[in-house]
Parts: sequence; C-alpha cells; structure tokens
Amino acid sequence: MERKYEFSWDLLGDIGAGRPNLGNVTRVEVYRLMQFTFRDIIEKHVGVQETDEIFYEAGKLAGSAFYQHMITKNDDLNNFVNQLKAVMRELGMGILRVEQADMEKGELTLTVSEDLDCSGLPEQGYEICTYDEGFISALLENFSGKPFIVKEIDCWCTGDRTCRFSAKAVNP
Amino acid sequence: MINKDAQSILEYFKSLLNDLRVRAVPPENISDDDTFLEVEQTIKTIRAASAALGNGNLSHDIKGKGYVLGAMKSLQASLRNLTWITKTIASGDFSQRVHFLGDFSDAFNSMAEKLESSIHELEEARSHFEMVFQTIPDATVITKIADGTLMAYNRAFMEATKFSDDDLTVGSFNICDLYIERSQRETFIKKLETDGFVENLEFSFYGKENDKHIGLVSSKIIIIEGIPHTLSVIRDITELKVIEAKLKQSEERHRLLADNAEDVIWTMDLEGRFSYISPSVEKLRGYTVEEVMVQSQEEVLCPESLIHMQEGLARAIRSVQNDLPFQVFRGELEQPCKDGTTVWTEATVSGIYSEDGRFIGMLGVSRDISERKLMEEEIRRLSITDKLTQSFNRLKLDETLEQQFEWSKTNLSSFSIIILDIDHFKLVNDTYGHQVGDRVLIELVAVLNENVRSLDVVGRWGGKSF
Ligand SMILES: [Zn+2]
Repeated sequence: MERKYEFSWDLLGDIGAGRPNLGNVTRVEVYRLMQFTFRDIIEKHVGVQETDEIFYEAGKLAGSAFYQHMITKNDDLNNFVNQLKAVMRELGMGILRVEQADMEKGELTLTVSEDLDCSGLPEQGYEICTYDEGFISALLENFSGKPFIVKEIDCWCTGDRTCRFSAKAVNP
Repeated sequence: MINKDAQSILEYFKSLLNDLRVRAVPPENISDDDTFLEVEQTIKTIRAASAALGNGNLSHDIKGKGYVLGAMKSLQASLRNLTWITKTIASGDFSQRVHFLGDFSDAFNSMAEKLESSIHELEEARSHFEMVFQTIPDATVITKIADGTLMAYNRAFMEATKFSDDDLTVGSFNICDLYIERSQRETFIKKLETDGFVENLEFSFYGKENDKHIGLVSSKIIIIEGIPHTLSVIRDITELKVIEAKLKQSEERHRLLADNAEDVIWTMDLEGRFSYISPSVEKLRGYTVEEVMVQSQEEVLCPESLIHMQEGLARAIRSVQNDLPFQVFRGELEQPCKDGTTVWTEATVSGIYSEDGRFIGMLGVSRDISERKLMEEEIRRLSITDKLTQSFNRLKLDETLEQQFEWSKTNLSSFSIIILDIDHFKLVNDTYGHQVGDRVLIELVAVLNENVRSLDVVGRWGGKSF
C-alpha cells in the first residue's frame, strides 16, 4: 500500500519557530475535541470494536515514538518509572503512580490521575482510555523488550477518580 | 411526615452505615427493587472497603463504581503507590518522590532525603574506616571476643603472617590458633575485659609457615551488631627483638673491651658531651668517670691542647658537612689531672655513624704518652748536653749562635760571645792525670754557671774551649 501519512516524529514540526507568540501549549479541550470527533467518525465507518483497536494501535505507535525521543534507555525499572513520571508531569499528560511492579512475573499495576484523555468526563459505564492502553504497552515493550498487554481496569468514565491500568507481559 | 416503609428503609441504611452488626432488615416489598439493591450493594462495598483500608489491607478488591467508591479506589491506589515507593527506597533507590498528596508529599520527601543523606554519611564513614583499616601499616584484625573468630583483617596482617585471602576465611578462621601460648590469649582477654583496652601487650604468635613472631598488641572492644569484638593493632617486633639482642650482645662485648682497656676510650655526641668514658680515665687523670662526664672541655684539656683539638675537630666536622667522611684526628694533648699535674696523651678521634649512614658522634682513644714524652725529653737533652760537664755541647751552641744572629738581625741589636780556653791544661793532665783534668773541667762549668744570668748559655765548644 502506498503511504501518505506514515508517522514520524518530524511531523510534529518545529513548534518553537511555528508558534513564536502562542508557544508550546494548548488547551485540553482542543486535544479532546479532536480525539472524540475522530472516535465518532471512525466508529461510524468501522464499528465499535474496530475503533477501539485503531486507538490502541495508534497509542502503541505514539508510545514507541515517545519512548525513543523522550526517555533515556536504561535497564533499571525505577529509573525508567522516574523518567516517565517526570516527562508525563512536565507535558501535562497525567500523574503516573506505580502500585506494584514485578518485572520477573511481568506484572504491573499503574494509575494515572488527572489523565489527559478522560479525567472529568461524564460517567459512561465503560473504560475509554484505549489510546492510553496502547501507549503504556508500547512504553513497557520498549523498556523491557517484551510485548505487554495493557487493560484499563478503572476509569473516570466508569465513575472512578483515577485510571488504573493492569499490564501483563505476553510471555513473562 | 414519611410513611412506615420509607422509615424502615432509612432505619436499615442507618444500621448499615453505623452498626458493627446490622440488626435492621429492609421491608420485604422493596427487596427486589433495582435502585434499592444498587444503593444497598454500594453501601455494603463501602463498609467492606473502608474496613479493609482502615485495617491496612490494601489488596482488598473494591468492586463497584461511583463517586465514593472511586474516591476509595483512589485512596487505595495512593496507599499502594506509597507502599511501592517505600519498598523501592528500602532497596536503596532514594530517587523516588511523592507528589500531589498535600502535606504528606513534603513530609515523605524530606524523610527520603534525610534517609539518603544519612545512609550516604554512614557509607562514607564506613568506607573511610575501611580505607584507614586497610592502610594502617601495622597488622590489624577484628575478631570476636567470645571465640576468636576472625571478622576482618588488613594487608599488613597478611604481610606479617604470610597468609593469603584464601587462608583467611572471614567467619571461620580462628585467631586463637595463631597463639603460641594459649595463656597469653587468656591474659589478653582478661585485661581487655577489666580495662576495656590493651596497650602494647607482648605476645608470640605463629605465621603461616609456623614461623614464630613476637608482637605488641594494642586493642579495644568494639560492638558490632550487639556482639563484642576486638579491634587489634599488632606491631611485629620480631626483627626488632633480634636486632636488639644482637646489639646488646655486641654492646656488651665492646663495653667489656673498653672497660678493661689501658687506654681511655670515650664517645662524644655532636654537642660535645661525653656519652661514654672507660674507667681507665681514673688511672690516667685521677678523676672518676662520673666526674669527667660532667667536665667542660676547658677542664678536660690544657689551653694549648684545647685549641689544637678544637681546630682538628672543626676540620673533621667541616668535611662531614661537605658529605666527606670524618677526617680522623690524631694529636698529642696535655690534660690536667686531679692532683694538679698534667698528663700527656695521644688521642685518636674517629666518627661514629648510624646504620643508615648518618654521622652521630665521635669515638676517641686516649693513650698515656707521658713516659714517651719523658724519653723524648731525655733524648733531646742528651743530644744537646756535653756528657762530661753536663753543660750544653757544640750542637746546642751552634743552635744558640744561629738563633742569636737571627734575633739580632731582626731586632738590630747586638749580643756578645765569650770564648775562653784553659791555659796549660795539658800540664794538669800530665801532672795529676786525666781524672783530675776532668774534675777541673766540671768545676769550671760550675763556676761559669754560677756567674751567668739565667738567659745566658754556657756550653763546651770542644776540648778545653768554652
Ligand atoms: Zn480512563
């Protein structure tokens, strides 16, 4: 297939040069507006399950690129968590906390408070942070070299105050 | 006013929320209402979850949704995160910090920082101790007081005993096995327990090849993990002991020689003080060793000899200062005696050097040469004396004449000579014999001597000429 939109980090552009007055910040509404309108249209075209899969996959692509550009490679889990925590906070993506981590078993439980995607959303009765799931799984895969499946088990959209993700290595 | 059923539902919920054991029951006609069941379930979940959280049970699975349960899950997530962070810090990663938990964040983070700096200080102190321990030039060990188990040792200990790291298994090697006499260990422990320390206690121990060593041990009790240990520094004095014994032996031998010598043997330090004088000095000068030891140089030597000696020694010391060997001084010296007379000695002074080649003093041998001096005097006298008349002979007269010429030349003054001859002396010899002739000559010299000044010189020119 001929590609027109193949992602690369360069596509994010030179924001400093491009926005001398407005700078490198925008409002969360704008981000969410784009995400939920995309969801709407894609769902109409391909259905619910397919939409979730697309968002999970997009999240993975983003997570991988993010790891390559924002994280310094390191074998130490604590160091990785510290870096990730700091970057996510700095970029206003959310407050990351580790509840438990056992890299040998390949099991982690993470929470993200004040999540960029879902915090403050009206209760829907279902978890919506599929993009985040993909994002986290790619981060963990890049860090450990093993593929991870990440599932959001609690979400603002289900009435919780934080999003809680359970990550499990595919082949621990 | 509310109806009875509503009242009964409220009573039930009140009991659910407030009572340890729920006594109230819901009215039967509402027990399959969906909303009622949902609220009832939520309150039951809150009861169970808050009880679990209250008891510190963080693994309780909070099932259900909604604002209050969400907040409880959030609290549980925070507590689980704190547990994880605390475990991480406990495993030595001090970089973890807590954020967005109000005052608690600051309190926790400053605790983590304090812990980090304390651990850091401890670590520094430990490595400093380790460094000092390893670089102490004397053998140093830490052992258990109870049974002598070796807990730590340094390089110097290995060098002293020739044991390798493989031989010295920490925790099983026993220091008691090195004692040559077990009783020394007992004495050591006893002293340590009474005083809390031991200083320079001599003991003997084996090295790896059963070679015997003598050591001086200084020790203190230190408590490690509640168990009393000894920190002991051992100075190996084996070689020192051997040298000491040799030195003592050679010193004794030399002293024996010196003490019994006819000559006076003495040593002097760089300040000019005697450090040793052999007893023979008393025979030479009448002073005891103790008296001479405190005498000044002026009391030891007559003025001219003192100058002579000082010049010689100054030369010798100059050559030492120029890194040349001490120039042996040899000279004849006149020394005062206790009875007011003087005695002539010939002194030979050489340098004393330490083992590393430093000049540390002088060794002198003074020999009594008074007899030789007398003999020399006698020979001199005989060479210038006329045997018969005991007046000066031709040699002395020639010498004197020479001196007087020189003297008058430089002083531009004159002197007089009387040359006299005995007339008809042959007649005396022929008439009374040669023996009488000799007596005449002796008599004449006596007459002449009686009639000259002390400065004047009377001598026999030869035959009957004077
Ligand atoms: Zn969410």
